Amino acid sequence: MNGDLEKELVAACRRGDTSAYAGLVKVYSGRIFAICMGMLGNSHDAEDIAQQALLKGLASIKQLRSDTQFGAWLIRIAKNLCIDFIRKRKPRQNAIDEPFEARRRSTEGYSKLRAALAELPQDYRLTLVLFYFDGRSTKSIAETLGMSTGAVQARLSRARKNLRKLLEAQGDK
Amino acid sequence: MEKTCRIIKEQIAELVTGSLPAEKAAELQRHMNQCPACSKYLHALQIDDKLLGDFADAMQPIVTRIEDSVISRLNDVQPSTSAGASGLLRAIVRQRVWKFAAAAAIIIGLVLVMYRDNSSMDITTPAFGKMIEAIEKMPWLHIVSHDNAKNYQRESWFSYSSKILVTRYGNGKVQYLDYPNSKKYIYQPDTNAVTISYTPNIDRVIYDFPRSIVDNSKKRWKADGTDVKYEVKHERGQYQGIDVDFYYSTSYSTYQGMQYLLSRSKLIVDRHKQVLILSESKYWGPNGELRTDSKAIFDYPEDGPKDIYEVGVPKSAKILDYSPTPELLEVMKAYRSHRDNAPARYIVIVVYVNEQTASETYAIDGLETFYFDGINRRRLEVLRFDPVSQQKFSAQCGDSFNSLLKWQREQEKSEFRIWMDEIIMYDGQYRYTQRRSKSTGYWSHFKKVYVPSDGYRLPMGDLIFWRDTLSELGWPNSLLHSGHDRTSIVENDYSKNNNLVCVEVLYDELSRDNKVTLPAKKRLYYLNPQRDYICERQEIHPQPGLAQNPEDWIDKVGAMWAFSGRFSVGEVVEYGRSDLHQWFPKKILMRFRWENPDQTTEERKKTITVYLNTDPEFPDGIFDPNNLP
Repeated sequence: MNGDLEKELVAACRRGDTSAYAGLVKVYSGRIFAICMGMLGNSHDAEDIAQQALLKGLASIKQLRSDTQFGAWLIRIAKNLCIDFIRKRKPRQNAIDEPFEARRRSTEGYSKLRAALAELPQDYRLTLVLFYFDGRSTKSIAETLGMSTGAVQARLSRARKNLRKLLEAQGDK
Repeated sequence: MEKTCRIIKEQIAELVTGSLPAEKAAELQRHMNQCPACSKYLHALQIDDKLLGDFADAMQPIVTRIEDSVISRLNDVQPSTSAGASGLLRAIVRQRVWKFAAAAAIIIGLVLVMYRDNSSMDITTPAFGKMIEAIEKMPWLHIVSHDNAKNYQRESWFSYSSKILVTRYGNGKVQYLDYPNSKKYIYQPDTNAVTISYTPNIDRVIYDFPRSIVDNSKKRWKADGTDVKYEVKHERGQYQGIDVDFYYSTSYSTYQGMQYLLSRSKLIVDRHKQVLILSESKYWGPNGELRTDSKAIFDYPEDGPKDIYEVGVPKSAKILDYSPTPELLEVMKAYRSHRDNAPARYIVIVVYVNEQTASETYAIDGLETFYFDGINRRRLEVLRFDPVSQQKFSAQCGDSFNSLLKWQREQEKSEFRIWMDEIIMYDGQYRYTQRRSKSTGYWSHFKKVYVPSDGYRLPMGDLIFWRDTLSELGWPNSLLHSGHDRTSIVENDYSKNNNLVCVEVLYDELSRDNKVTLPAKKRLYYLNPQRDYICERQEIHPQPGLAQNPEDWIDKVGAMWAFSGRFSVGEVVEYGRSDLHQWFPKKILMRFRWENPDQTTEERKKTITVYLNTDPEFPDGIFDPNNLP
């Protein structure tokens, strides 16, 4: 979506046209889910929080100061919700403790990867997940996380190396 | 493993990401053709790459589900300019809202009384929610308050929606804070002058929002074991012709085994509008002395003061306009942004060396270790080593990150006496403090206090207490948050010669009863735009005749301050670069100079060296309060 169209949709939402928000949801749902997945470490919580973030974005869109800042603003909402969630999460609750249903699904091929991702430090996981879930662009990650592309690349490399170690420790795939 | 292979492996991950230049990639490929181990490692990373890609694809149905679910609920959501429904109260508390300390403090006092009244307006009841909501929805809140015991009075106006806070103090001083425009107006009656200056337009932590205060106090009391007993009575009635609820509260505290009357409070709430209209409270000390005798009257006007003249500042007042320039706003924005983006996962060890005590064998005076994983923080502070053992400690410490960390970890476990040390931990909710007894050398004192934060940020007082070491050394918080009276960008020889941006901050003196309690001073912050806006040099000057003060300021200075106005300079003399390519101050040289009462001058020098690891492996249980020594 180009910037002008996004700006128009945001303006329409702010005027009360909630249906215009659907377009924004289509654009941002993947990235918001990736951020939540990266920060929370499991898809079940990430799905819930991503939904909350997108709905909260609409509910508070009139508080947005600039139509062009929608993406960064929505990302901040998602991150804040994740931080709240992490703080509320019971101490020592492991990020990979997913409900039974999710666990059952996850055995179909990715269980070790999920476990390794959950073990990864949050900032590494976030970068890695954003890379694969959101178009494999370090530039886009840099914009999303407010870092330089060099820093993103360095973090990605470290994340990969750490992930490799974790997978090796589990006896690989 | 050969050294070459180790270096190559470092780069293989970049090869998989595709971020390596073609030339470098070809060189790597040549190596791997001859090296089975590296080739195997590349293959493993490529498999990971594919696995991650497939995993992301497998997650797509979840993204689609999120889209469908959100889109199907769009009609249920009504965009709102303020938090409206009671369900959003939680959101208000969780989000950053504006801090209106003066008014909030009064409301809080009242709300605490309500909270204690389990039979009526508890914080969890809709009645409480409605009251907060009702107050927030009012265009303006106006409070007139005074305290007979402290001989203090104040009148405040504030608006949540326009983010303006105006306060007129009993001595005639007026402060008008216009946050959206980053402007602060201060009127001082003794100089009959209004200073217009910069105030940071920043989100403040919601620490003093009424509901969170109540919530926090409840948890804090519980954690601290504070023994305060409350009796609350609720009555319905009329006040000045309107239906109201009266809340009467009496509290008792325990001191040295004796129970004594702590407070009596009364508050009145308009039953129909659900807003506070009056509060009265008295607090006594353990010996029966009256400490607080306050009364506050609330009303909710449609309009608030549009400028300082509407709250009694005479038109004849001299205007000293130091309004923020666009350049200053831009610099402050960049400064803050880099400060916020400082690494949030690291171990840092800071070593202090005083010139007077340093010898050729590298004697260190103090050491501080800070662990931070983005949420949990732990700091070991060793303010000063025992002078007798200083050489010995220095020899044991070494001067590398690993040797220092190892030594520090051993010290935590030992019972050896160091001059003073303290471990502070924070997990996003509770602050744990463990202190080593000065007399016995044993870890003895333990304290747990509830201190809520907003994500990575702590309430102001605790932020200072905590001092997130890396941020503070690189980007001192004082530039953003201190109560300065004038901020501007200036150019001088130092800034020009070193390509730095110099932000000058002037502070007026603080005085009470015509005596200066803190002299005026000037701070110069030299920021380096080439190095992530790190404050490369900071100077603090005692300064006569600042923003508004007459030049004879020194005559008013109390004796205790006359000789303590010290000049100090802190300067980054060496930079480091983290694994994440971010700059940090590696070595800082501090110099202090002051005048003694006999007019002799003294100077001290101190070096601060930073050992930083932004890719740390945190020791097991390092953030576990149960593992404290």
